[in-house]
Amino acid sequence: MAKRSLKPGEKLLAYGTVIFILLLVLSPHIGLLLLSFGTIWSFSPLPDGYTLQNYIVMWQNSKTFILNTILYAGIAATLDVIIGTAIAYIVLRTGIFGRKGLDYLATAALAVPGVVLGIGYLRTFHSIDVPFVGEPLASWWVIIAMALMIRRLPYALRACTAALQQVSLALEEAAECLGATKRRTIQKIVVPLMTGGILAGFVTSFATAAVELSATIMLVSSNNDAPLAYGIYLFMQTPSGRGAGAALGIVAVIVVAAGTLASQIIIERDKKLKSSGEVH
Amino acid sequence: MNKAGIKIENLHLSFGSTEVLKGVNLEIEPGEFFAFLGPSGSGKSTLLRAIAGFGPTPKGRILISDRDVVGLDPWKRNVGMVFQSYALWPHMNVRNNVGFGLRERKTPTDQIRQKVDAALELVGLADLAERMPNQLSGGQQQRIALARTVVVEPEVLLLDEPLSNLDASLRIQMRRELLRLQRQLGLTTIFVTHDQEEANTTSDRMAVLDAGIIQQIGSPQQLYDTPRNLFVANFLGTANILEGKVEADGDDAQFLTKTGDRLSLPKGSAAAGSNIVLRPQNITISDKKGRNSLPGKVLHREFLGSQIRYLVNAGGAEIVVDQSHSSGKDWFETGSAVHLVANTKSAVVL
Repeated sequence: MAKRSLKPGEKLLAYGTVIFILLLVLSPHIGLLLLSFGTIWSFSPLPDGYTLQNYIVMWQNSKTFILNTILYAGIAATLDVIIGTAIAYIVLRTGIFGRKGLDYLATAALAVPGVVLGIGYLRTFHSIDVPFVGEPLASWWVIIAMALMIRRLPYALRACTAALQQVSLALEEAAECLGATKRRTIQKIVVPLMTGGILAGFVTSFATAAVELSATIMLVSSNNDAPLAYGIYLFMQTPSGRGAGAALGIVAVIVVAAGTLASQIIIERDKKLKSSGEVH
Repeated sequence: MNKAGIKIENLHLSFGSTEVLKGVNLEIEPGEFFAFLGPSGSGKSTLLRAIAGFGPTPKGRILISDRDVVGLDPWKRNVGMVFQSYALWPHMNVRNNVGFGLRERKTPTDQIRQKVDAALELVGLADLAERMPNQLSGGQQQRIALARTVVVEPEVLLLDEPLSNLDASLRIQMRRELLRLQRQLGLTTIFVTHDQEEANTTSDRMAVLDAGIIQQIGSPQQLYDTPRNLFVANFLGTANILEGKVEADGDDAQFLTKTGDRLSLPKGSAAAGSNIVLRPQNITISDKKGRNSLPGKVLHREFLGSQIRYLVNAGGAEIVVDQSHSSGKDWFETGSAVHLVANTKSAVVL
C-alpha cells in the first residue's frame, strides 16, 4: 500500500491520538512497573525511592506459584491442543453426526464466566474422592489444570481449526493413494503440517492460562497448590506484600507478552513455508 | 511392469441428491493411454476419483485387473494418482516425497534409495533430490509428483488435469513427456482434461463425457470424423451444423436445408437425420455457384496466418470456413456474396 506523508500539524495530531490511547491502555502497566520497583509509594505522584528488593522478595516467596503455574498451564495447554486437533479433524474431515455440536460444546466455555465454572466444579466434585489420593476431587490440584483446560479450549480449538484448514485435502489424498492408511496419513501428513498452528495455539493457551485467576480463585484449596495469579492475589492482601505482588504481576505481563510474540512469529513462519509451496 | 485393464460397469454416483454419474460403462485396455474429455461439471473428475477411491461410494462395478474395487479404501487399490495441484508435501524434501509410498509399503531402505533415484532419473530431476517443494518451479513440481506416483509401480496411473497449472509452452512439452513416460512404463493411464487438444495429442482412445453420461468412446480421429451426436461434434473442434432433412430417392440421397438448398450425400451415408455436420476445412468458399454449393454472405473475416477464417451466413446458420492462405491469394471482403461448396464426403448426418 502506498504511504502518505503527513504535514507537521497532522503529524502532531496523529502522534497525540496514538500516545493518548496508549497511555490509557498502558497506565496500569506503568503503575504496576513503578510499584514493583518502588520502596514506599503513598501520597506522592511517584514512588519515594527505587529498589530491586521487591523482586528478591517475590522470587523467594513465589517459586511454588511459578512452578505450579508452569505445571497447570502446561497440562492445560497440552490437553487443549490435543483435544483441539481431534475436534478440528472430526468437524472438518468427517461426516460424523453431531460434529457441529462438538464444536459448539467446546466453544461454549466462552459463555461461562470463570468464577461460575469454578463454583460449578466445587459443587459437582465436592463429594467425589480421588482414588488412591483420598482427597475430594474438588480440592485436588489437578482440578485447577482441568478448569484451565476447559477455559482455554475455545482458543486452542480455533487455532487448530485454522491450521487444519490450511492443509489441502489433495495432500491427504495423495498419501492415501500411495498406500498410507487414514491413521498413517494423519500421523505423517496432517499433524506435521498443522504443527505451526498447533504450536501457536499451545503458546497462546499456555500464556493466557498462566495468568488466569477467575476459575482458579474458587478451586485453590491450599497456598501450596496456588498458581501465579493466585499468588499476586495473596501478596496484595498485605500492604507490605504489594511491591512483591507487583513484581509478580510484571512477570505475568512478560509471560503473556512473550507468549503472544512467540505465537505471532510461529504463525508468520508457517505461512511463509506454505504459501511459497503453493502452485501459481 | 504391471499392466491392468479397467472395466467399469453401470456406474452410478450421487453427491447427496445430485446424480453426477448416470450409468457409466467403459472398458480400458491394459497399457492404453485413455482420456476422459468433457466440460466442467460433466463428471469426468468424479469418475476418475471414483476409480481412485475418493468421493462417495458409487453403485455399479469398477474392475481393475478383474478385481472389483468399489468400496475398497484408496490405500488398498494400488492406483496412482497425480493431482491438479501436484499435492507435494511442503514439509518433506523431494527425496522423502518420492520415497513416501515405498516407506508405507515397508520397502527396505537401500531399495528405497535406489528406486527413488531411478524415478527421479526417469523424470530428469536427479539433481533436485534434496530440494524442498517450495524451491521448485511448477513444471518441476509436476515431474516430482509423477515420479512420486510411478515409483510405487501402480497398476493404473490417473492424471487429473495435470497440465492445467502450467503455462502454454510448458504444457506442450509436458504432454509429450507424459506420453513418452507412459509408453516407456507401459502403464495403463487415464488422463482427465477439458482441453480437446491435450486429449487428441496424447490418448489412444478417449471418452467424451457430458452430464454424467459417456457420449462416445473412440480414437481421437474416430470421434472427430464420425461424431455420434451434436455434443461430440461441437466439443471436438469447430463444427458447422445445418438443420434440415434427408431426402432419399433410391440410392441417391440429398440433404435439404431449411433454406431449400440441396447437398447431395455420398452413398451409404445415414438415411435419416435432421442435422448435417461440416468441418470448416471441408468447405471451400467461391464466387461461383457449383455442385453442392450454398449461397451466402461474408459476415466476418479473420487472418490467422496459415489460413483465413470466414464467418459466412448461409443455409440458415453462421458457418465457419477455413481457407488456407498463400501470398497473392485473393480475399473475399466482408459483406460480399459468395457460394460455399461443401465436401459432403466428409460430412456427417445426425
